Amino acid sequence: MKVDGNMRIALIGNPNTGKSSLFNVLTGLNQQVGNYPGVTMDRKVGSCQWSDTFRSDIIDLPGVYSLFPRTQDERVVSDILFDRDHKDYPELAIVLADATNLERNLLLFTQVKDLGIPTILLLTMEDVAKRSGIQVDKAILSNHYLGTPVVMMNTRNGNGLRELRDAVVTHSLSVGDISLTAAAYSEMLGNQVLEEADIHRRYSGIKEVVSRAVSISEKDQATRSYRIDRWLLHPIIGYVVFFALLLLIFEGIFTFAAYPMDWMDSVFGGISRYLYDVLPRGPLSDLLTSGIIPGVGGVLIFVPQLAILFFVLSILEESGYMARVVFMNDRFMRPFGLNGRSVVPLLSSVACAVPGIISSRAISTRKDRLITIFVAPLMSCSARIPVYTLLIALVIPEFRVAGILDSRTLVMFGLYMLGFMSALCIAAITKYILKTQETSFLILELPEYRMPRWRAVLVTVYQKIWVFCRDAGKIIVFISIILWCLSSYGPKSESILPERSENLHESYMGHLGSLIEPVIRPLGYDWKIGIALLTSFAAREVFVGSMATIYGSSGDKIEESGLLELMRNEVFADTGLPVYTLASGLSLLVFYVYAMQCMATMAVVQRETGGWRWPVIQMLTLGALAYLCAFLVYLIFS
Amino acid sequence: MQTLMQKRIPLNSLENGQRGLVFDIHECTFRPRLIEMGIIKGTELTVLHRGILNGPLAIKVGTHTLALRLDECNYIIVEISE
Repeated sequence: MKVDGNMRIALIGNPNTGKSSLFNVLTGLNQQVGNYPGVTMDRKVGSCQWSDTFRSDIIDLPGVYSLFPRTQDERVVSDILFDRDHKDYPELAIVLADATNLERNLLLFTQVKDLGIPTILLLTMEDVAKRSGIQVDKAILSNHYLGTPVVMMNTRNGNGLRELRDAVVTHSLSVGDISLTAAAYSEMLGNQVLEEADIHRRYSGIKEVVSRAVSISEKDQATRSYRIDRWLLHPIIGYVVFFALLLLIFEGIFTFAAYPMDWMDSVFGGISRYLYDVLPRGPLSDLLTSGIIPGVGGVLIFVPQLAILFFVLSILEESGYMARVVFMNDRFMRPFGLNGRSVVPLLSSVACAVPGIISSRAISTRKDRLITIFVAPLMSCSARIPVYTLLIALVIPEFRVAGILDSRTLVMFGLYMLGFMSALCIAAITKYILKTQETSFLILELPEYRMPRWRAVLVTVYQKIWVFCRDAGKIIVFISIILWCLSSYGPKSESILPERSENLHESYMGHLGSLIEPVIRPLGYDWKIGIALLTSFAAREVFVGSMATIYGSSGDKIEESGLLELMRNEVFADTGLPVYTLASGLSLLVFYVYAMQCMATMAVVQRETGGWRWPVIQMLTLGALAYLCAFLVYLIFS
Repeated sequence: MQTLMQKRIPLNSLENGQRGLVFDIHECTFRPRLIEMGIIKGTELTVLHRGILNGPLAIKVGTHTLALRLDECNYIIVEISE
């Protein structure tokens, strides 16, 4: 037993049993999202004041169907429960069980109970049970399971919280009856015959007790969800609804989010300029105004889009519709080595690949998940929009195609499609290269439709935004500072270079740009573009800022700054030919579609795949592809 | 006489709305997963919806609904009464 600190209580249960709503009810916003070392699952811990004198930590464990894990993430649960020395090993387990599906939910309960962890059985979905005429006799369950406290609770409105509190406060800390040791369990793990035998044995006991404890007055056979699904899973109407939702999401990301983003952009520009004016000149103030503040701004600029994206996605998740999205898309993703669960990661990557890759955790087969992660950066993220916009304005002449379509809009659309199509093609190729013993399978619960709870939605949005700022933010700010150093100092000068635009050639960054010029010259780029390609590793939209710095232009709006004019007049020093032509511009656009020049994405792939092998392979493959395609485009158009 | 009236067929050959009782699941890596989801001998399964172009099937297991791919359903043998 622990000597210091709070007691630990773990929430354990099947997915969709109301575990996270209970967690929110118990802890309020008093919770932290962290990581389990080595695995990718969020570690959610909060604390709860049960009574005046009793306070405990609450650990929300990932939803699982049994203690036999199917994915690495599910392994978290068995890892903790099998190891008494684990820092998250609970002194009390609250096992949530959906009262409408007691048989399957009791499977996990008996497994936890048998480990000797003091356990409370919490029956949830009371409202749905009542509606379906399901009645559970708590006393029979409690008696059968050796006096385990059984509490009925509605986790959505908190009805029954008092009973749960009483059960928790008065529970005995005595170790339960250990009928199966963790060691015995560990031996079963991965042994199909033993696992199946264990499950069968448990089910026969469960069936017996459930037949005594549960009575169903059958009244509503065609459930509400079944009736809704007849529309939402309809071969035609279902897809119309799905595409309408997609449109809505894109509209949100691209149109609505533009207002707060423009506003934030000018606020951060304003802060930088203000500080530049008032602070005494020096390396520190320069680092602040040209390194740190633009870096932080570069992170926060993503927040409006991500907030909208997470908001819509979490409503879809909460309502139960997301499982239907997986159902409808699985068939179309499989030929490409992806599966229905790849839709959300790819969709999220249109805003930013970092949350996209994080959301690939829901994919249960490792191979499908790796492929999804591998191609996610090919979806054009929002950081590429400023780059696309600048280059398109620079090299694509404006005219009407077929009388109605704007040429520039068409190119923009084409770049998105190019990314998406390439993602599918590369996924299909990767499918044949990756060897695996695993069979891909889809066993997915289609939960009952429910009204989303706004509080839960907002908590999710807040937590995901926070995780993004933590994961991507620190890298973007770090890289911004490094880049500032590289462009502010040079090999010939001890001190900071004043007037950066003129002196950039002298800086380390300028030298790096010149160093890679021979490599990128075949694509039609000069050393200045080389610098912008390198600085894009902070975040791709930095391309625009770097160009502005290089050409010494100022102003918030590209059109007003004269940057376009300066870039248009740029010529190669040796040949005197213009740098930005249709050929080099298109080549650069294609390069940005393919290249994985984003440190935050690489870092998150490193974490999610558990090593540097994948991000490095990914960067080299996509980089080579970017180079090749950009080269071909340059050849064709020049 | 009743056994004569019963037919054993893979789950994927059930029509929408048709019921069957699980008789057996063929050996496959995901069999423990199916079993833990409650697909055990004697459970009644009903096909509710089908994805287009041989997409997944939505199966009612007890009170809940599961989505399974067509080829996964091939491993599940159900008994139907004719």
